[in-house]
Amino acid sequence: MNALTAALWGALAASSLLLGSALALWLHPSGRLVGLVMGFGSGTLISAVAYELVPQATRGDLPVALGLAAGALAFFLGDRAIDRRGGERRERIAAPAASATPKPAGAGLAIFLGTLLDGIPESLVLGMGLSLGGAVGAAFLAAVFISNLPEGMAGTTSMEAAGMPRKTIFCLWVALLVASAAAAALGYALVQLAPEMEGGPQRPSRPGPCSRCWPTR
Amino acid sequence: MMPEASAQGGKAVGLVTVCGFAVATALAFI
Repeated sequence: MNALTAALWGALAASSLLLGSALALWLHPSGRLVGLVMGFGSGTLISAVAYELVPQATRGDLPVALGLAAGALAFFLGDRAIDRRGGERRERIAAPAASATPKPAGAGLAIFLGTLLDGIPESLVLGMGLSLGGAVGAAFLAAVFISNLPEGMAGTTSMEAAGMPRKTIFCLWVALLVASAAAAALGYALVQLAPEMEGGPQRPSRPGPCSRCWPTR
Repeated sequence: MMPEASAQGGKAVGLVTVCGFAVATALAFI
């Protein structure tokens, strides 16, 4: 396992954004179907938080509580800022033909930023989990993959309704996929660079006797 | 995510959310 492998897993988890985008562009699924997929993705995310992320992080109760609060606050403020810039409809599943009112000029970018706000932390956590455990948490990977699918579908539908060309939409999702892969690699590298962290990998930085390090021979 | 899912998918969203939770939980314990 290395950072490149982590990046590939991050890209795999985010690839459902492209899949969802393709489904929305070519098959035009009904809003009810997308809503059901979103519900399924929400259930998988709740489970991943409850059984994979928080239990792994409960080595220090106060820092974990503070981290959860900080993450929730960052997401709330970012989501609010994006909504104010025209991205409040990024998860609306409206058919392009039904969009009679013109969308704000910055709505397309806000939609993309909103999905970025969701995807980057997920990929960071995925990379960190790979670095700590050395294996992919199937539940977390499935949760991210499934939850990205409706985001890709709904985001594409909204961006298309805002008048964005299909080629631009596709390029934005590819850019997000690359950013997710980079975030997963970064998460992996951050844990590797902090080997003294409790629960993290402990490897010798240089040859020599070290009571906390792996034996060199 | 859930408010929009419920608005679009109707009452069945609650059931599929539980299904998603059950599937991911099963994966976590395998």
